[in-house]
Amino acid sequence: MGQPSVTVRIPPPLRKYTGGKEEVPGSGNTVLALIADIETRHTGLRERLLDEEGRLRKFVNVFVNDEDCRFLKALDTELKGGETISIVPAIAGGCIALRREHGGVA
Amino acid sequence: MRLTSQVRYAVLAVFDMAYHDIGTPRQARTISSRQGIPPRYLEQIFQRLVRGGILRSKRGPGGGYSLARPPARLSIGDIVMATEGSFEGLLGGGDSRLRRTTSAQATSRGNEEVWSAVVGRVTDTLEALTIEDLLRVAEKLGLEREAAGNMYFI
Repeated sequence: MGQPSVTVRIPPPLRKYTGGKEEVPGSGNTVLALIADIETRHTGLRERLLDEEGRLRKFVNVFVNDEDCRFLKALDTELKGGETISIVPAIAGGCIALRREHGGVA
Repeated sequence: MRLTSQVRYAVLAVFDMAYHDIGTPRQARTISSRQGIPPRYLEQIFQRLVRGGILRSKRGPGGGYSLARPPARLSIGDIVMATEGSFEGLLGGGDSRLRRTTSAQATSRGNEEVWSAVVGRVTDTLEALTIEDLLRVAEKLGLEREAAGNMYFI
């Protein structure tokens, strides 16, 4: 019948799209379908999560329960219903000290 | 009890990672400057956090660090364990005065048991407090957040 329902945890920088809510309900068979679903109620979220080609942005991680979806099937990861989906920022850079000393920008 | 600067920096770095902007390439160096953590030290801390399963790292161009678990599943206790290896150092295990007292006066198994109740309670508290809880505290305090496209480097 209906699409699997899940709970989506929204990180602080994106709560302006959810009226300050930490958590919103959503539904979809896959992570991609879920993003499309929450966009219908929280316009602007999709653009923050996906790039122009519709891929997950590089410094955005989406967890299905405790697993990063990049280690599953990325946006095609299937949802059964009842999962907690967490959107989490990531950062660029490694060898911070080295880059800093050489004045480079990672 | 004394929290080491390594634990403090590790907690602040992980919090910073989860609190500020998402979807734009934020540099690890930004955390270093914002939290006042020397870059070399931050790198060492990050490496420990990676080994301890708190962060994941990706090498090469476009690489960086990300949380290995959602903030609600990352406790301060996990970060203590990843950076210090145990709670011992924080809770008197490394305190020679305490050790002397314990061995001289006792004999007293009772003292050890009482102390282990203290250790147990502190450990439980640190394990119950998550990065998600710190995000809530920061939100409540209205802590200013780095805005998209408004990154600063030094």
